[in-house]
Amino acid sequence: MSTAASLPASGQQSRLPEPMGLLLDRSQTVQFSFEGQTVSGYKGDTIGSALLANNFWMWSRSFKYHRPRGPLTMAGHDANSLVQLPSEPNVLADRMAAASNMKVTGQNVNGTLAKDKDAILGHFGRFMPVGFYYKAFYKPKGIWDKWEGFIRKKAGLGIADLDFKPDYHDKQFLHHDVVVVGSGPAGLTAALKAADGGADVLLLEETSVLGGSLTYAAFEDLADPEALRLQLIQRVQDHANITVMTESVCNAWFADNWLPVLHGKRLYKVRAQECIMATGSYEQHVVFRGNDIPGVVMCSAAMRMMKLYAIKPGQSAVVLTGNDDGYLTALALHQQGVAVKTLLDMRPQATSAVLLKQVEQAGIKVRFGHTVYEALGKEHLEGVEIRAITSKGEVAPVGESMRCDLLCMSAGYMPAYQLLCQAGGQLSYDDERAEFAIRNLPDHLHIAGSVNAKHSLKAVMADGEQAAIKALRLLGKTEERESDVSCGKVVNFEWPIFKHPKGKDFVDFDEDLQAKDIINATRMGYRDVQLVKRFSTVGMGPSQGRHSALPTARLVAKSTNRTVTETGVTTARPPLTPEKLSYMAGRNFDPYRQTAMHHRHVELGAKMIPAGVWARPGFYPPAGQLMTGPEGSPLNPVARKIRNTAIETESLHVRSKVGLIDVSTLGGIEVRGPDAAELMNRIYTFGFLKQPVGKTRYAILTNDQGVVVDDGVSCRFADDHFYVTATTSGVDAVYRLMTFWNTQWRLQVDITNVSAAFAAVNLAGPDSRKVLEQLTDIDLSKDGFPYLACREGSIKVPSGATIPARFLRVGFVGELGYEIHVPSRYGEVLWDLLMNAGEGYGIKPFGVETQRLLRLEKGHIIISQDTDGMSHPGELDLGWAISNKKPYFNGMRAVDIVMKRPQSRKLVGFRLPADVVARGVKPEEGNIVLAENLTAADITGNVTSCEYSPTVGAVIGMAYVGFGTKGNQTEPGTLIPIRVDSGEVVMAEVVEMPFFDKEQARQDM
Amino acid sequence: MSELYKTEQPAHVGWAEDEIARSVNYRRLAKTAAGEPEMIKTASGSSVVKRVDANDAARAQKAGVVELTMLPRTGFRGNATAEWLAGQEYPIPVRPNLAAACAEGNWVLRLSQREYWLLANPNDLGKAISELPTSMTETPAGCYPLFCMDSHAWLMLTGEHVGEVLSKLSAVDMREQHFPLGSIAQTSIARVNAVMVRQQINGLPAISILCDVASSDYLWTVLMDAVQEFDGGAVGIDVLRSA
Repeated sequence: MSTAASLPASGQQSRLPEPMGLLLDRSQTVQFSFEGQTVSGYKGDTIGSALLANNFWMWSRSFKYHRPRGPLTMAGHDANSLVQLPSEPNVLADRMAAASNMKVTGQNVNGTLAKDKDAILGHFGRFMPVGFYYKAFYKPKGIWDKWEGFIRKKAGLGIADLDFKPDYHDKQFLHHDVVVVGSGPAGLTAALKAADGGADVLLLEETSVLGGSLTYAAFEDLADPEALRLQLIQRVQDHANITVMTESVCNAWFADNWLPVLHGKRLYKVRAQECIMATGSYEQHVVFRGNDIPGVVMCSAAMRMMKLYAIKPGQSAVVLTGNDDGYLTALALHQQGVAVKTLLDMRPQATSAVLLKQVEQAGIKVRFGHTVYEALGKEHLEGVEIRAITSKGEVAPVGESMRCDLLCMSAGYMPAYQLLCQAGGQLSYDDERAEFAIRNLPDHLHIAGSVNAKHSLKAVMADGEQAAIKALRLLGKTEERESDVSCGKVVNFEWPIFKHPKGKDFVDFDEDLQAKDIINATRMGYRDVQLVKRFSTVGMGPSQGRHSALPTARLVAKSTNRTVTETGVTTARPPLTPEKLSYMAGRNFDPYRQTAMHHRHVELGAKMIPAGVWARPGFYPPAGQLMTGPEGSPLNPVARKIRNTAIETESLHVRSKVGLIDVSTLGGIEVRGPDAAELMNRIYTFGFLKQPVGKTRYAILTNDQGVVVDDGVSCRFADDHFYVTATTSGVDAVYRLMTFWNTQWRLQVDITNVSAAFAAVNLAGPDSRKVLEQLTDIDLSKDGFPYLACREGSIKVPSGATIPARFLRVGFVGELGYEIHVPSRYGEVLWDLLMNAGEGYGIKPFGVETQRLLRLEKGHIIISQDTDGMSHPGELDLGWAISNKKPYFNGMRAVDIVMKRPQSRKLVGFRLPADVVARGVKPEEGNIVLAENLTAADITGNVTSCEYSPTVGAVIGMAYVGFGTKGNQTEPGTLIPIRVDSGEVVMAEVVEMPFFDKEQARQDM
Repeated sequence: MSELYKTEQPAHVGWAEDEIARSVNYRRLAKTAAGEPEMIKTASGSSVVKRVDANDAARAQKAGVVELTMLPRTGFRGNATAEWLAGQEYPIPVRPNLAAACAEGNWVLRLSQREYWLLANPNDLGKAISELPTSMTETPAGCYPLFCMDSHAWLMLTGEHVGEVLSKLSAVDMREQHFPLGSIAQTSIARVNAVMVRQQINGLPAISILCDVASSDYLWTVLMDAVQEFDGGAVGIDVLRSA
């Protein structure tokens, strides 16, 4: 046997003859490099099996002591087999298929795998007792800064490739009546029985072949497991009701049988009505000194090497067992030409006289009541020291050394409990069988086979069938009742732990935890197994306690004088196996909404900004100004300057000529029917019963706390037809509120959310009438279509066609303006028509940020920007929009109450003195307003809007300020202290709103 | 917000220049590998893609995506709706979330106790549906026309893999055995609300997706991504029309 560097690779050794090598296609070879040396194998090999075939038994180094590590389970269940690929650390060598041109190296190495400078750490183990990192590194004060770099360098497993290019990953739902996890004899039987009963079955298998233990194990009660496997597989493959997924890991169990399954580059989200976990059990190691040396493997690992990969695992072997499976392994080794020097049975006697006889007939010496006390060797096993067991965990003072290059061990089995405990299953320990059983599973989750403590093949298969019958019964597909399956076969040795005074008797290979580490943790007061886990890190490594949970439970129980059941095991949480983030990140859905005019904005170079899920034009910077990526960030001073200039230019243009803004994202709700006015009257604060047809009315919505939560414009197009707008982000809630109430009111009215059905623009500016006149026959004169009127009509298209349209005279930006709403399919053409018609008047588009400035100049609020979760109508000076004459509106009682309470704040306009502006200081939204005494503890309000207005020639804004119980900062001329981002307090002057056109003449033109 | 909305698309599309009614997705079909797609006028005078290229039929059999947003559809809601539709010989599905095919190829979708949507027949390019009233003044009291022609986009998935394609986008099992002909699911796909209808059109298994029109560009990119696995892609309306 060799290691990567101690001996040159000798090339691929001859494999065992068929039928060994179930997974191999010997007609195709693969070749890759390991630690720079060439490795040859066959198609079907894993990296690990190919390494073994080339005599590489040391694959990586351990996490803490950098000890040589190699195969342990050959099933991808342990962390000893983790190797490094160029772009992927922590690859399970005994799970990943070997492929040509791979570059494989060991992990956790300082130097080379063979000459690891950190291997010396193993000699300083006594200076690194369990939990030492909680005590060291922190004293004296400041020392952590010195340690941190060193520890960070040592921490972690493998090396991440920071230049890695992400692959495409995605997700898919699967729905099945029955999902069977695990395709061993129990899983295959369960799947077939369920499918025969008419269920749609999904069979999941984590390896590349079906069969589970039938692929590699030997059975006392079955001479030819391969024949049985092929027969079962054939039936599965022929069954129309069974879908098979191999190389698929069920990585968690979530409520109602929602199972995330990892397969290739896809996360399957499997929903099962009934789930049968036939997940099997993990063979357990014996705890003795040196039990991690390459060459010490599980019995099942040796069986897998031979049966799956045709690898002869050694020349001379010792088998250490606490059950009959060790006998079967010894026989298999013997049959494949391995000299089995002795079989050490920890039990006082054999339970199967037949197997004992067979082993003895093979010339294998059996020694009862003996164990390996120490494995000898450095980079590979060279021999073992054998001792007689004198009592529980104790051995004779003197032993016997025996040379060997292979030690196969089996202390028993631990059910693959993790998924079941995630589902709420509980483990209870049977002292007689020295085994955990799983109880209290949720409805519709069943277990079968060795995970259910059934170990004879006959019982395992019967158990699978009974689980399927139960699932079928719950599906309503059979009336047959399931029955209990009994199995008397005992597989666990009571105490396979032989603590050595020199340690290195590993309980947890992942974290290099020895028997004394677990015991010491309990002596330090960590009696609860959960605390032992947190203090010692036992079970926290990649193998997630598959092999450490049972010995830990036993050691903690013994050390704290409790039963193993009382001790239990640590909580099993998802995921079961390490899960790449790409499975969760892959193909996430990130919806966005675009208006019908979206591409026109993009073509015009708009700086698009998010408004909820909508993309809206914020402003239109001059051509050539890059406003995307970091250059376009509002934090970039250059970008801010471009923004400010664009906004100022656009706002002046609207004030002086004509501008066009896309307002399609505005919410829109149709209210139609004989009771339409009654519904409007009950929902909104104003009176709507007498709203004239052809007129609009401001609509405020309050909630049950009396807070203003939305606003819009109510248009009445007929006695029984209202069209009310709502805020972009609030419309869905308004619609829900209307329909919620009307299910109780039963008014004769139809309510429809038409937000996306209408594209809309606001054509605003002194020349807007002249532009629109070219496109419609509606009388647009001041008297024919006055301010706050609404009309239904059409837009003329040069071809002679017309577009149906709704027109609203609005004054949000404080200029003569028309909102034009058309069915969304006409939105882009409407934009083009208006831009063309406005060409002679110098029409320019303006964005949302400019609109915010324009409406600020007019003192118009934006709900949720200038309001918060406490803003009632009194604070916003909206008392005029509340009707006190009607009997009810939504939130009326609360509005009454909050309006009568002493008020503490009010929204006012403010203006910043020129000298402050000259210094480049500007309050931002959210900056706090202080009381006059300027103490930080006395906050009276906050800034809600603030911008430089070229029209006003000043920085203007809105802010909540103290009022009533908080003094009175609302009077025009009052100076209010505002603390800006830099911490400086600037004094702003309260002014009356609007800031511009106080006579409101411009919008009424 | 996704970066997808920044996907470059042509500013002007030849065939769309003279159209006054345009699908949000028309740029997505501006150019194909074979050049510009062939277009055909619907009964209401708008254009839909007739044929993307010579491989439409093959793609449609696997996983085709048809952009039918400009094909007429409408809806009505209210207590008087069922009687009014029945009077015009439209079949009334027996319960909500069922759809019924009319003899001439239109589909009636029952979305609630008193809400019905009508989808056009690709063969007559929506003639019958486009002649139905759009104003409440033209319908009886208690029957209100809806706005689904403009509020919703109409995308259709075709082919043998529709169930698998949708299993990547939705938690609802839409394989044919669990979502048979005439089934409706009002659910979310790829986090966008949609009305899904299982149909059979011109011999093709099909599922209509009626989604928020403002989200349809997003959903188009999602569907195009999802059908790649099955060698699917965009196809024209011809695959839905009998020869």
